[in-house]
Amino acid sequence: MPGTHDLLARVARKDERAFHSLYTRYADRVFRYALTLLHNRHLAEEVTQETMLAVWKGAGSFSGRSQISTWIFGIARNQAHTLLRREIKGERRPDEALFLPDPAPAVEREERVLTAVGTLPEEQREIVFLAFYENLSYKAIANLLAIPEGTVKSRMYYAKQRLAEALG
Amino acid sequence: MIDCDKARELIPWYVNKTLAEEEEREIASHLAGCSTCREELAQAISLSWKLDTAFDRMPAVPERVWEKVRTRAQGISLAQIDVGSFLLGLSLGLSVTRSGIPKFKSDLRLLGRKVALFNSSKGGLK
Repeated sequence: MPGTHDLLARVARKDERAFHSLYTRYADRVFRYALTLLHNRHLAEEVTQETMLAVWKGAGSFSGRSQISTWIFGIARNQAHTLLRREIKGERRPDEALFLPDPAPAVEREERVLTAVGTLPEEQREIVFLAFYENLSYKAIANLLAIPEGTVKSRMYYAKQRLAEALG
Repeated sequence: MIDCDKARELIPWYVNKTLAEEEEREIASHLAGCSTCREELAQAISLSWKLDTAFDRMPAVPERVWEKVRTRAQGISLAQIDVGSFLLGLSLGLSVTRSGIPKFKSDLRLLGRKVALFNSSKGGLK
């Protein structure tokens, strides 16, 4: 399986197969991140679409100073916040329950966990997602969110406390 | 040597294995002598596992999103070539898209002002 850097270099040369591979590798993760931020499937789809198009257009400009995943999630975050601003201006507001389960039979415990995550403030939800699902370091998260490392750690601290209370 | 407060701050990233080597050594050393923080670690491992499993059960992106991305990516212009003669005041443009459908454009210049004549991407003659 080609490495992500190799794929991105090929995407920069407009290799469509490489782009499809990169899409397959990231689209679900970007979609779930957007869903975690926005609570709305329709908007999360839009964020995924715009993010992956930005990757297609901007692959050649990736500087390599961060991990590729941090770069892609950074694009997704900007897209999500742009959409959110548009929604708040009155065109449409996020209106869905956050974690709609897959059509497959749901596992009660996982639903409980997702419901608990859904009650966290957005700033804590995304840290929990990026740390425990994307396995990003606190430095990478601080870089992605453009906040001090100490803030990442304190948000995680409060998120863990609230989740521990909610999940027992 | 780090204290319990510092250790608790770092435990989530000890669990996801992203700490720098030195921090990892420090926390491992602290954990070896602190049963309270070992308990905190056990809770963090359990929470991490629950969260990872739960996030993994969130819906996958629908197939239609790829179709939209693919279609729009194919429509992004790859290159544009302009040929023409300044003296004659005529410029012909050809841009190639990923879909393979070329777009033609021509302009006539009259006294330095552009007058668009044809643009295939906008449906033909103007």
